[in-house]
Amino acid sequence: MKNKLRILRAERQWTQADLAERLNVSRQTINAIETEKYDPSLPLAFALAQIFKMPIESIFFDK
Amino acid sequence: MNKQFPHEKAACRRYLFEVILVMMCYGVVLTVSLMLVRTMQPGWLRALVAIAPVAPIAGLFVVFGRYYCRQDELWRRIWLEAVALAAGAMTLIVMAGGFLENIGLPRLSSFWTYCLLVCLTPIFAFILARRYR
Repeated sequence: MKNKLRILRAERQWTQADLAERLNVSRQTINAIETEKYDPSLPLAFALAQIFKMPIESIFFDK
Repeated sequence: MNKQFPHEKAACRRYLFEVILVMMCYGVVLTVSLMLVRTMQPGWLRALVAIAPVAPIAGLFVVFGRYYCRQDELWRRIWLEAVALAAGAMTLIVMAGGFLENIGLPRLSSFWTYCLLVCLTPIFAFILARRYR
């Protein structure tokens, strides 16, 4: 699954560590999602949507 | 370099503390158990004392479980995959050992299968974690 997490994070000038801390996950998890090596669970995807104040489908989309 | 958050550092410290505590208990229980079984008459009580060191080992599983629950979802996945791979590798090694017994390799205790699983799991976790760096 593709995502625009890196762009959204950069727009807010957050580091991966900043975002990870907000979500209570490891920085490695954020990196794995951004590089599309790992698809987050539904609760984590919802948490991301809530942080960026966007619908999930605007952050994650099909290839 | 991987930055660890304070809560991650605290989780690691807690895990190490619990492992050390359980292993110390294991050492004490094992020593006492070995001393007692030599002096006891055969019977169910002796068998109970002989298997007493299993209790702290069960405690070790509880510690592993608590550590697992404190991980985030990616690390839970890594640990699960690592256990599955370690179990597969352990099966292959034990099977190979079994076949080598046919050509004279001494018979090893089944106790070593547990040691193999415990040693292989973090190795596979380390290898799998590299995928997500």
